[in-house]
Amino acid sequence: MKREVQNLLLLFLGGATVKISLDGTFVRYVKPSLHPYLLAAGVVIVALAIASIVADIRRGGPGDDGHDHDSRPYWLLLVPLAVIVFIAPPALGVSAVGDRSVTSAADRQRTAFAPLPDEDTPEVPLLEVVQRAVRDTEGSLDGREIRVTGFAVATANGGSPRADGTREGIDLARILIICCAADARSVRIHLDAGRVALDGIAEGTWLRVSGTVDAATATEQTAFTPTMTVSSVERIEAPENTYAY
Amino acid sequence: MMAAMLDANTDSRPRARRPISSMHVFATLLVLGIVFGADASRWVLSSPALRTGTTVFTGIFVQATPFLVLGVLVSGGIAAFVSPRVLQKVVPKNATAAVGVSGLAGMALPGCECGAVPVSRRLMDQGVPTSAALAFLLSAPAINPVVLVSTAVAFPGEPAMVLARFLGSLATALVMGWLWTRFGKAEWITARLADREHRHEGTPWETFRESARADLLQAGAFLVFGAAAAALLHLVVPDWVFAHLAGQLLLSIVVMAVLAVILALCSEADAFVAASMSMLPLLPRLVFLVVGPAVDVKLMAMQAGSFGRGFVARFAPLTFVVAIVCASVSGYVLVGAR
Repeated sequence: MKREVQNLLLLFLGGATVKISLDGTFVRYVKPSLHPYLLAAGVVIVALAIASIVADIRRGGPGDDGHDHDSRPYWLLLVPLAVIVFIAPPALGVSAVGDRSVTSAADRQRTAFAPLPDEDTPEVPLLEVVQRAVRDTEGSLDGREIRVTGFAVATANGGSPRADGTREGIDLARILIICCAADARSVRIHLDAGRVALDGIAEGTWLRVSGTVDAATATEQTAFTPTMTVSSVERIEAPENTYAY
Repeated sequence: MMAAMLDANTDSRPRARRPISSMHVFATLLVLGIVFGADASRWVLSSPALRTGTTVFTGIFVQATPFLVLGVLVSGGIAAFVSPRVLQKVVPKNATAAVGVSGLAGMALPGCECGAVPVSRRLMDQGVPTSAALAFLLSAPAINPVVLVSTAVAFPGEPAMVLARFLGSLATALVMGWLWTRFGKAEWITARLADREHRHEGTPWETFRESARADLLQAGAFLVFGAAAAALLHLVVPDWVFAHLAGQLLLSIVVMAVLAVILALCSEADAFVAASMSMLPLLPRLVFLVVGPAVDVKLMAMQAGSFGRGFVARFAPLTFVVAIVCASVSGYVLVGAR
């Protein structure tokens, strides 16, 4: 590959890195706290490419004899460039939740959690709901109506069995990531329709669900997945950053 | 598909006076991307597996980019501002001691494994003994403070895991360095540094720019290969692997070691993933943490680029075995068989 093309490739790759850090789409792939480093890395790559191009122009040419004699596989760098710029893969969603689920809630010792906020229907993160159901010695969820946000996914789609042993109905799920999309895991709770109709909610629909969680349903038999009895459900737009951390 | 396009492009003008250069190909691909990018995107995203695969690939690549850039800047800095004479003064003459010093020096480079590859290749080029550079390569991603702190956070109440990880990884690095001193052969390292093929004598700034640029291109290209392999393996590792290992200590040690190789997680993140596999005993999870930063598919691809394929074919399997043994011993002593 010619030296000019190598420089252009670096320029575009750095530009793509800067672009996804500035327009915020990088949160589909990595954790938000990487933002300054990612932006800085993109700027460094762009600067390196520009400095090389400028130096080549000053020297009166790239100094190559025009042959593509370097056989290193630099062309591979087109792949991330094309994927980031043209394909722009979405954040992991329904198709990934069957993969690896969080069961970490079960291994830690049971402890006393702080009580839930003293409001009518506090919003509680999905992962915290599971942790409170499994490990809280104070029973902070008992009898409390809470609000949880996540997306719908069929229980049959890779979920654990419900307390009655079936895999019918829908679950509310979130994808958790630690560092990047490669370490994603899912966390979910079963939804028990109760008084509202949950039929006809397509998988992947984002929901804000209010209801009560019965901690006693988070047993080994259900793979520590509690069931929420729903009192109301609201369809919402997918949030900008769909992951939980 | 790209190769087919490339061929078609070349074949369509057999009598062109000037040969097709890489710039023509690049420009053509760019235009094709602009014209057909949206269709290609729709096609890729219509398949759940491809969608997950491309997201995981992008995740690994984007995650590695800042560490790679840090690595090539350090590598360029070494090439430009640290003369071989200074390095030879700092690194002990005795090869055994040199391995020990550079193994411990790995604590000073925060980040994960992607950055360590160009840095250690550069150290070799600047006259540091190969065995010492390899000890640095193995220890840097595993025992730096960032990784140790994240291990402590991931395993609250198990400080022994942090110590066992530190000692297991350091032991792996030192043993591999000493094995190289004894048995290693310089001719196994076949890949040359890209900027050494057109050596320009220039100002330190020029040397820095050329070294960083060449390292970035080379390590980046091989990172693409490794990230793609890891993304593919992510899709094919069946879920039951994670669920049905409890209780079988030896089997789960082997499986976790293999998983560490094929999942190719960042060493800053792997502790949390290991912590989440709560159905497994601690010992196999420690093996996962020691093997991952030392040898995984992404690293093997990058090492093949920087050191040569013949090197990886010998180095990676041996590192794999040594890492399992070191992790098992330090884990058994410090954490116990649980």
